[in-house]
Amino acid sequence: MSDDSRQPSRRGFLRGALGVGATLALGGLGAATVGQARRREWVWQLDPDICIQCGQCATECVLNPSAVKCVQNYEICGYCDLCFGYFQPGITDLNTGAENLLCPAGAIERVFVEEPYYEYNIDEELCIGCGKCVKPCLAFGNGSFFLQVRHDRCINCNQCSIARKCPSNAYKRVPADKPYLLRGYDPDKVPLKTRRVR
Amino acid sequence: MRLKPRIWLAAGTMALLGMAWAAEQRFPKPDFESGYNFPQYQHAAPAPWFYEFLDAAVLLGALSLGTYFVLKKRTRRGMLGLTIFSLLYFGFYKQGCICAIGAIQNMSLALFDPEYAVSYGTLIVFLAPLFFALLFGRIYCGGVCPLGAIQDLFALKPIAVPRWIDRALGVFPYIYLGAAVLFAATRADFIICRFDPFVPLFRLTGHWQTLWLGAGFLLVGVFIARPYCRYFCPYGVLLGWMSRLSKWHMSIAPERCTLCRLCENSCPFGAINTPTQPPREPRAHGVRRLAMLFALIPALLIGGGAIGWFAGGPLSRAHRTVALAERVAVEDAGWVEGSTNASDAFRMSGATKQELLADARSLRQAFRIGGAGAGAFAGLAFGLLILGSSVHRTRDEYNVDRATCFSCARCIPYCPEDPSSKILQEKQCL
Amino acid sequence: MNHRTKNLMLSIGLLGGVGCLMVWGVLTMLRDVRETVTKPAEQNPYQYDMDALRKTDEAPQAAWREVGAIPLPLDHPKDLALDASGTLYVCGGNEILVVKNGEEAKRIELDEPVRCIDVDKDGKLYAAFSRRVVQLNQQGELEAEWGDLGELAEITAIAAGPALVYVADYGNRRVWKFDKTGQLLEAIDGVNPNGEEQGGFIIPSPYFDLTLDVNGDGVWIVNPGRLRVEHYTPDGERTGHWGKSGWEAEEFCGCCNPTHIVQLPDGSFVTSEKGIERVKHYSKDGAFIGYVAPPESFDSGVTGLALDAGAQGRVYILDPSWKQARIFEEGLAPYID
Repeated sequence: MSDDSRQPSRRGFLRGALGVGATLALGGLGAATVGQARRREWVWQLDPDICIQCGQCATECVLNPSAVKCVQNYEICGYCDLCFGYFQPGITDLNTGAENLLCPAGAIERVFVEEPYYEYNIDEELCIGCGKCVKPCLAFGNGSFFLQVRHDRCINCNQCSIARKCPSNAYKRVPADKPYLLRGYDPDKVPLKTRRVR
Repeated sequence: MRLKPRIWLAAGTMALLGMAWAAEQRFPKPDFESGYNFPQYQHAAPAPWFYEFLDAAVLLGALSLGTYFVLKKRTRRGMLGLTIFSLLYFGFYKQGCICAIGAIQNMSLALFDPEYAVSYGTLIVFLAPLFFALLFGRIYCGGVCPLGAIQDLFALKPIAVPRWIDRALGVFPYIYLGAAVLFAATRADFIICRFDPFVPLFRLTGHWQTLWLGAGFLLVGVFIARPYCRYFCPYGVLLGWMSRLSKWHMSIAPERCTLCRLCENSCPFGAINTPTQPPREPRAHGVRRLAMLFALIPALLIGGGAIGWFAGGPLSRAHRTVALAERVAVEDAGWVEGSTNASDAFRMSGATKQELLADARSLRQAFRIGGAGAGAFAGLAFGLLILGSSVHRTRDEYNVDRATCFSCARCIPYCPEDPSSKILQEKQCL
Repeated sequence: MNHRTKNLMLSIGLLGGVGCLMVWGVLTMLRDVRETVTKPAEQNPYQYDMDALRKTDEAPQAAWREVGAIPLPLDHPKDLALDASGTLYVCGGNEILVVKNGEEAKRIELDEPVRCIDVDKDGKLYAAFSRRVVQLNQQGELEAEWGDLGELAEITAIAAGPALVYVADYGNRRVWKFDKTGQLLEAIDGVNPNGEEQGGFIIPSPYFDLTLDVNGDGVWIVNPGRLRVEHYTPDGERTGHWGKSGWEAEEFCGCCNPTHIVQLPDGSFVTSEKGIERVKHYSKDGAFIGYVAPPESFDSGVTGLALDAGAQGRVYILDPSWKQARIFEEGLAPYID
């Protein structure tokens, strides 16, 4: 190798030229992409208006339980006495015994407010993101239950393994400063809480 | 304890927020008499932006440190420490994403899809190791890459893979690279990430197939050092090109090789070139062989391109749109029973079948063209490999093969000329 | 030599293993890809079976059939109304479409999105924006603008009688009573101070409908959160109700149904529901008679099936999904004019 530097040879010249070429190529690649590069990273999110509640958010995430959770938008919740996202279909009385509850993980909490209104809360520690409550809430109620990728849990894989399987193509990369697609919210006004993360 | 994801705010504020939403769907909440306060979610934000740059800075720092260890200090111990750090930080802490190998796909997508733009962090992660390779060799492989690091630590009983097998298998990364760029550029899939054997191990979660794949690689890696790096890694192809042209690459001997052969078996990756003499054969022989090989290269190029073109059609099914179009067509023709979630979702979406089929056709064509390109690329790589292995060069010293050397510094202590050499130290002790 | 052979064997063995793994991976992927095209429908362990709910019933044999449909080229059709001569008015977006004899006769353009409309016996048209009501003549000219109902108001239905106009407002959870000059008389809030229940109207989702009593005795108002239809006298006193919550065909299913109601000239009622999208026929006592249109008649998930009664006992159903006014008729025998 040291020979090359001492006496310039044909091979040495070729190598130098190729080196310059490679530098230019890398620089060019950088320039081609940096022009439109973004300061922010992308994150994965699903559009609740496209979601068909196929259940794969619960099964396809690399995390177990999934980083997808049901969220409750209190802004549009009807505070129904008989919540179709909470109770099993076909029940005869509004008894909150486990056999009457729809959620397979028991993650929905029902809190009495005043006659005949009840508040419904999701316990994200228990929620598995299956979306079973989402469909009846949308059909019978206002659709205040819907699925979202929770960014305090999502590890932001370069290729989301749920997105690959999503039958309705509801997953997309969204800018990290607007990371939620909440039904009933102006995307600019979603209240975000920063956190310590990896 | 995790903070409760919601806080309680006054109902008045909430009513204001509610109004901000589209009037069409404006919904008045029940007017409770009991003084109930409406709860509100606070949605956790993703990592703040500076984390990305922090990671990029750590990457640059690790690359610089590796360069210092290999080129200046010439210390294997330093490299080993860096390897362990990288495994812990980039591997188990960062959990593998985003890595330079996967960033190939982000770059491809950014080049081919005008809607997608890479972030600065990703750009740095992709380009920095290449620039370092262009200057100093594959420092990234040697001590920074978490995938390399985990395999490096498992290389306990390395055997020498016969050189012809080693070289022949070295063609696969070119095919993998071509396929990865093709799949990413068509928005079909990120196959490098999907088939990454080690990231599930870093996360300790994932589908069982990939966990087994990772375990299998590590097991094989006990005997065949760094199997993923040598025979699969598509980023290694790019790094190899850069490293071949590197300005200051490490060498085994600090000054001149004394041909003592002590380093001959020190490299577990078969990246040390031994001194060779030109074969004793008539010059015309060599020239004829060379001419034949030069004729072979275009043939391989065209052959690879043709294979890629014909493979492109079936491969395009990996794209959801093509798969969906075929499914819808097959359902409409009555060849299958029932419908899938995807076809149901498509029929509910109101899009027309003609649009879907047109999209699928253009994607299939893109796959054919891209497949031909990737095939030709792999064919060329194969041709150049044969050419390279049949051109005999005169080498008068033991030194590293710049394209395949990972700059791990394992060979340095074996050189008696090196101050850190075990042999030298033993001599001094005596 | 021996050493090299051993290495060779080992390498081939191990790399062969890796190769097998690789081939297996590729085959898995190809199978995956092939299956996306040919596999049977996925089983979702978390399926919520809406179809089972839709087919709960051995419904009484349908005595109603669809006899025609009028296409409605409108953005987001919301409500329809028929006048005595059979002219159809449909609102959607900022427009009111006027259809005579199945043909588009006119389009009336207004300043705001029109939420609902009704026509009285004299052919006067009443249209509501989200917070106020306007009165139009038969030519579509603006005759009067009534007062604003306030910040919270969201009007969902109007019923224009001979002397009174009732306006259902789900935002304020009230039915406002106006006279024909637009004078606000009083509000019906559904709270019954003497009754056993005092809850008022419970409206968990934005559907709140009413229909005039055909005998001129007040108004029938849907209390959707209680899944029933309540009768109020013109003075706002509740005198009775019918309808109950449940999973059977004769009951209302959901958190808040029916979404729309109309009383036919014979005193019977026709209701429409969301969730299980269906239109049903009840007697004047609230006894279930049968389906006007079973769930299979509609696209799943459709909401806002507004209703009105036409001549000869016909029922017009607004189908926002098909953008049609669908006409249903009772009795299998053809009518003889």
